[in-house]
Amino acid sequence: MNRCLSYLLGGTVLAALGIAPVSAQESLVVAAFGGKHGQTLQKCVIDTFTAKTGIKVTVDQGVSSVTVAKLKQQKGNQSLDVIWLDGEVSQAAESEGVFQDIDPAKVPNIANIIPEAVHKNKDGKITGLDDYYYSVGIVYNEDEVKEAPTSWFDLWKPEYEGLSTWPSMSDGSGPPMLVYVSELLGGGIDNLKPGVEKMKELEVAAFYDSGGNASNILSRKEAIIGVLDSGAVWSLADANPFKVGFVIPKEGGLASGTRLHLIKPSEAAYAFINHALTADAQKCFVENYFYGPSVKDISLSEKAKARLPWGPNGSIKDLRFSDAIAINEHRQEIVDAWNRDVLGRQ
Amino acid sequence: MRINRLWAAILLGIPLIYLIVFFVTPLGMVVVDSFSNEAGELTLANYATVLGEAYYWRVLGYTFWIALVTCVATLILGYPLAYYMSLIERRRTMRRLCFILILMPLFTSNIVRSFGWIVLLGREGLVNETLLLLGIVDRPLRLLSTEVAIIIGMIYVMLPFMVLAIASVLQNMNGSLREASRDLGATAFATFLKVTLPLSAPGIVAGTLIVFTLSISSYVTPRIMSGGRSVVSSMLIYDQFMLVFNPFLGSAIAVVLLVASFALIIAYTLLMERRPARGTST
Amino acid sequence: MPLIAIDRLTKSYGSLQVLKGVSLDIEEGEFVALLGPSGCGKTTLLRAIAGFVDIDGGDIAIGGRSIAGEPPNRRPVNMVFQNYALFPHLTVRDNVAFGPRRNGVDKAGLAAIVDPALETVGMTAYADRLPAQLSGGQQQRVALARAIANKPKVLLLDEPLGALDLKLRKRMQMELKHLHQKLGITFLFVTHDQEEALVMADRIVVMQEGDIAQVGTGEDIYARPQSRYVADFIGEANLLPLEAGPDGTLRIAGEAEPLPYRAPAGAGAPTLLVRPEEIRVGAAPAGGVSLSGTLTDRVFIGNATRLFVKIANGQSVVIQQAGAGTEDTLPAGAPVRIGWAREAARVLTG
Repeated sequence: MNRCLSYLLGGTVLAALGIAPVSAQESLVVAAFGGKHGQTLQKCVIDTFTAKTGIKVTVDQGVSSVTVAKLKQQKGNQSLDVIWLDGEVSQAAESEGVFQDIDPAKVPNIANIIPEAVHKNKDGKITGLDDYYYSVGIVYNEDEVKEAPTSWFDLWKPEYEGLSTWPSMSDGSGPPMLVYVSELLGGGIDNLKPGVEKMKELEVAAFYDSGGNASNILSRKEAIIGVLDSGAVWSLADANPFKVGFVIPKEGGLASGTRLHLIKPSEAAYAFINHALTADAQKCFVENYFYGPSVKDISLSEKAKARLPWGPNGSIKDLRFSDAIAINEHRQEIVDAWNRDVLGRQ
Repeated sequence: MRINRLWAAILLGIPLIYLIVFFVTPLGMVVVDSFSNEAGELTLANYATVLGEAYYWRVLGYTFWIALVTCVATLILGYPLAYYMSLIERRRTMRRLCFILILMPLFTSNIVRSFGWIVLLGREGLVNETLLLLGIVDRPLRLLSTEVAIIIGMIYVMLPFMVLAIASVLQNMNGSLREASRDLGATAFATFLKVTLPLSAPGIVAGTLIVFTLSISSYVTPRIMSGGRSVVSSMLIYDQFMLVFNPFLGSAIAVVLLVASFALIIAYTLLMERRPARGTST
Repeated sequence: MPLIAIDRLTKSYGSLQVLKGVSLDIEEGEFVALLGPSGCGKTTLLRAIAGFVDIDGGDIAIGGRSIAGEPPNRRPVNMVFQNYALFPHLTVRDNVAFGPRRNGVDKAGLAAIVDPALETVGMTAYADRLPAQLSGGQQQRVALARAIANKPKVLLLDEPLGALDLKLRKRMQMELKHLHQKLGITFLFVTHDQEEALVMADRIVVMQEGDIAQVGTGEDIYARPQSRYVADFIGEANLLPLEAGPDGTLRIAGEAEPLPYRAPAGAGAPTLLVRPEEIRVGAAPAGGVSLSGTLTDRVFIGNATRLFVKIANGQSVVIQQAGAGTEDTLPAGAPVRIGWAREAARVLTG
């Protein structure tokens, strides 16, 4: 709770120091992600936008939950024009009423993106547009895992006993994965027992707390197989500690996306969103960060194709998105079940 | 030098304010939270959960178990080190070197340290490679992410505290006491048992208390070394605060941990004090 | 055969030689003092006998058996430490019983040893106290009782009275002397206090820079010191440098009159020793030595009066007269004649 509070305070201070736009037409303030993800957005989307339009873009880097906290704090006097959010956070924040409706007439590129990327509220207004997708799948060490896994349940094979890694509750994919495994075994968010029983049987090398943590465990060969999101997997693959294999299991990957939201409508803000959904910007991004694009029919290199979250020949239909709202509501039960029943076995 | 009242008040006031602001206030908030719920009402529900469910007792017991093992292990390892540093090594530079080496673990960051553990204890780490090479094992032992790993990690972090506590007592011990013992016919070993050891009791008590309390509250080391596979009380507290956003239950767990630790520490100090210092030599 | 035979003992700390081949025999039942200023090696010698100092060379034998390689716990000696070194966690009784217990004395035997030992030092009433609850003098007695409880052949005492105040020290000196007589054990004790050595010891070993300067009874050493060092260390001494004439006559530097002494065979520059109490104001008796000087100071110290007289060579000579010093009534600054009997002074060449 204290942490939330300090984020709020921090956000307020940052906003106050801000970055109030001189003129909405000449500059934009955009909330984006950090790390390599953010760098790739800067290079492929933001810089190309400024080059084309001459509109300056100020980037406010941060975690999605902090961005939402900021929006709530500044209701009525927003400093941000456009924001990127994680799909789950966006879903949970939808009810806060901080997103402005997006007029499809001002974003002609909506015609070029897959229908799943367009998010509407109950009144049928567009409130968010996905730009990229990624998926949690199975990462493995091709030097040691001879036969490529095909199912989530391959991790339970005796040959991987003590050699796998799986997200803990601290990692963003931990809670949805527990729910997902329960669902696959006939349970669900209201009945975690099947998932918990199954997880108890999984003999991992370690549960990881973050993507970086998982990459470390894998590159040090403490684990040779694990559950990890594609973004982290391809970053790991490019560091090349071993021959990295990645599959989306046949049951379906656990996917998520990143989403654009309009906060302060203006010509420039619309132009920015439209630019983010161009084939050129997305091709550049996907070639560099290996997420799946929402723009249809982009011609990709073989490397980027092989790394798509839905595989070289799949589509978004092969992905499975978790219900972030339900998971947030059941967070206590999920974390308790994990600590008490999955870890409490000893 | 005379200190007037104003200065005395200021000199005492600064640490007092510090304690109030950074210790009493947060502690008070935790206690208040532990009796509250999300609606802001007073409730005992959090304690009903923590005290009523066997699970929380198990975790508490496990936390104390880890702390106890750490305590005993650091005592067994730390005493000889402290003894060597304070009573055997006479060269001053060597002593200083010993102190620096002993303190080294406190200077390394958790990240560097956890990386080091993987290099050392990992599946392809130094220990396993050596064991395999020597043919002692035919497949790598699981050393990381186990209870043993937690204990090893804890010992590493806690050893300096134990060594410093004991060494400070041994260094101030009158050396002629040991000579008197030898002179009166005691062997070196009997001298240790009958003179050095009983007289270093204050250091042992201080060391074990410090190590025990630090171990009970430690979070990072058990977290890293268990590979997320074991739960100690501090992790439950963290998860309630940071993952579930239920500071009320988290506070209740924290208060129970605090009270239980205090009870144990008081019982221990009473026990050590009551042990008659006189007439026990046989 | 001597009880303790110390033979050419050497010990160095780095380049500093603290024992330079010390040889000393001590008979059974003797009370011997090792006397010297700090750094003379007396404590090192004592600790070497106790076994706390590894010697570099030479040998120590007790009762004819070499103990040089033995650990402290196997030596038939016990020590009273400078600050007593009582075990703070043990009662007086357990402190005294510590040695017998280590030597395997059973419960019944313990009482038979501990009780008499405490009685000997008059500490029976304090048997259940802890050392911290005792005064310095009481701690001293317990330390003694503890050391004698083992019935050692030799009792070693390292500045045993150094921490006591003057009055208590004087009393303990006599008590130690009586204890020695009562027990019949050989006592070897270290002190830098010459008076303490004179009061208690049968024999005094004066040490100087890692070597023995002179061994003898108190009277011996006081009356017949063999060197300026010993003369100066034991009692008070007027040391007057002498000049030897070609005919073998000796003169005090600056005086014309030859002295009635001959230079003894020996290389060193001769010095004349006269104790202050041997000098009197006025002319010397027949055959004695007389000098002229100026009275510079007169100090009354209770049982005696001290006069300071500057003689011709500028040296100050101390004279001590018993009582209030009624032999003269000269004021300071007055010319004075002083003198001593021929046999009252000694010529030293060492």
